[in-house]
Amino acid sequence: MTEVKGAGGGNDIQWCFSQVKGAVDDDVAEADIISTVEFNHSGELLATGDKGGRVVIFQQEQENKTQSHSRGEYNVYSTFQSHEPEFDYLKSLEIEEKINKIRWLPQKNAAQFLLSTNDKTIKLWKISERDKRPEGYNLKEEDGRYRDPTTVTTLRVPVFRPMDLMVEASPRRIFANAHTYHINSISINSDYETYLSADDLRINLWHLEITDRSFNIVDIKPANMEELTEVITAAEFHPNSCNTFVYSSSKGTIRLCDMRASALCDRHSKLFEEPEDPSNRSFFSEIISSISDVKFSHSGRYMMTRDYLSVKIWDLNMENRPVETYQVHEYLRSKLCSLYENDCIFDKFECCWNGSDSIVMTGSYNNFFRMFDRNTKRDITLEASRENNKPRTVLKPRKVCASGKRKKDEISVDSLDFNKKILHTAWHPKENIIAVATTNNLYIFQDKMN
Amino acid sequence: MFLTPVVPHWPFCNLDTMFVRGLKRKCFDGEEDIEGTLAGIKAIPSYNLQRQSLLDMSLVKLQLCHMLVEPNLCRSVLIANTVRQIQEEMTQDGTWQMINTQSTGQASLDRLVSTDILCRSSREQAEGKHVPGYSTFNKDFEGDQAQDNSETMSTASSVQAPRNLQSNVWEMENPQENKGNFQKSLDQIFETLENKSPNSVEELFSEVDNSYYDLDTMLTGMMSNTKMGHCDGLETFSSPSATTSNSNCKSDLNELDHIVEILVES
Repeated sequence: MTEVKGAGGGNDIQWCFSQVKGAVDDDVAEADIISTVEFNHSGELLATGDKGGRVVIFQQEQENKTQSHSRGEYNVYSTFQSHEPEFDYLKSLEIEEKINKIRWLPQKNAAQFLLSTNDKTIKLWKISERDKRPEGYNLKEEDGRYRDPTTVTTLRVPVFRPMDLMVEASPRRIFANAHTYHINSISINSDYETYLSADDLRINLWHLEITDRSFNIVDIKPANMEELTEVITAAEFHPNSCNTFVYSSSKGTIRLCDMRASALCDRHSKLFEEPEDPSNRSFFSEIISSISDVKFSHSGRYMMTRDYLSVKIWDLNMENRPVETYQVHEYLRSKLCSLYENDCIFDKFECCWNGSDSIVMTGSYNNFFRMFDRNTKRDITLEASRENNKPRTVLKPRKVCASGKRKKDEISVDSLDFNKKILHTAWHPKENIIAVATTNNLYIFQDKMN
Repeated sequence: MFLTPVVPHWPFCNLDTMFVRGLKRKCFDGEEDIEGTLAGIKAIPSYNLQRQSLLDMSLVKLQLCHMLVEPNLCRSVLIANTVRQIQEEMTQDGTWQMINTQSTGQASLDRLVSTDILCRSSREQAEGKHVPGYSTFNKDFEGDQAQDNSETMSTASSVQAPRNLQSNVWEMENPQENKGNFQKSLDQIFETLENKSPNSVEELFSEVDNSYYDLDTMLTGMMSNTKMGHCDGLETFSSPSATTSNSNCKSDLNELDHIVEILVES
């Protein structure tokens, strides 16, 4: 990570607006609501999924040597319809086409592969480029019509000629009918051969080549559904150990499982849970402790969890409490009742690490997003908004005033827009480039390069 | 025409602050402090009122779940757990029993409650709250009630008029039956989450006392669009129960009007 001297003289990153994608008007078409954002392993490609079942992939331009003050821009590379709405005839229910998660496979050849999933079905997509085509067939015309063989007087060897770049996306595998409940996570194993998919009550293990079979590795469904008090909220494979994965629950616990221990990993190897703070206990304690996202650090030594009000960093070697806790929007604690009333308390925020695991980022309301520097212990609040955002102008930090006198430039809690929520964010694996999704727009920010 | 919410600071009231304030005044300031006692009365009934409203809101949310395409299981489970928590606490501090005593008289707001009782209920609450896991939850309310009735008759006197009001709205006629119904509803919700069909939704819905919605509107000043959402949902099912429930809404509201008028004048 390049260190840039900020205006304050420190080494903090100065974030600048770079691009924004999506419709400008305030009227949000439901299908355009962004539901997932993910960089690929090199950071060259950025994928988004939306409620309409579409996947849009952006590609970073090759760096222009003459334009040394900014990195390449992201432009649309491919768009395709990943999932269509379906109807479950047995339950008389519609299955939403909304893309819940996208995960990229590491690149093995010229083509790119990604997994995309809706509530019930996971698909493996191959995205390949075509920039040449064969020309000079003997038996076919250029438009494809067959020639009358009797008119052929000479023979020639067809050659490849350049053509306009065409990016094709084709579904290579469809993994269906393995989930009764809604899929909330997919995670590719470090062996690059298997992956897991998790729904509210079960986790399944798949082989990327095999679609008609999957192994159930976690099942927390009680015999009597009336006794159901806890669901799975997220799951992820360890980045290095191919036998280890974690899953989080609605009760604020994280379980680490080792697949070598048994076929059905219902008994965890480790249970991560922080004891409740009795002074903060309320009827909403359980709801706000529910974990909405869990992410391993790139190193594999730590994992991060996001609950309604905070981000916690756990050391895998210590189960009884997190090593770091960052408050995202503590000023909401006194508003939990109204947030329960308007259902905002159930919003599932995601979180992400930067490439070097030194900074973590997560979203909030009013199109604010927050970053926490684990080394300096400094945090910043920024806003994703079209106003006052010109390329290469540094973003102004925001501050929410919890109570009492509101200073100039501060925003009071009561004027926050709870409809403008940033649930999905992603950080480039190598550079200081971040992608932040508002309801229907994708913002790309970069650090200021001098 | 909507009534002024009984709790003026809703919805930004902090239940925790309310509870802690009451606790401090009762157990630490000493029983001799009459002012503290008066303030304590105001704090504790508000807490009960808010808790009741939270319970009502939660039940409405659970019912609404069934009107959606497919309920979000995580959300349903979290709401159901909240409902259970409230139920457990109400059972522990005896307020759950008060639903039975609706007919035994309407205590006026001015009535002084002995500090002893208030202290006891606060301490019980304190104990309840600090136990991370509740003691095994006895789903058989009817059984509990029979045993506890004699003990809790004294706490019944601390029933505040607004609570009675709520009880009137909450329970139709037979409180015991309805409590059973409530528990049954909760269980049914999970069963129907398993095998959802339009029929089961209507079935579940028909058991609900539709005056819930009025309670919410009255107490919490809930957004009119939310309420409209409920009524819209009723419309779309186009079943006989839907039309009658609409008229029930109105008649119940008038009744509530009347009752609150009386209380306010006294």
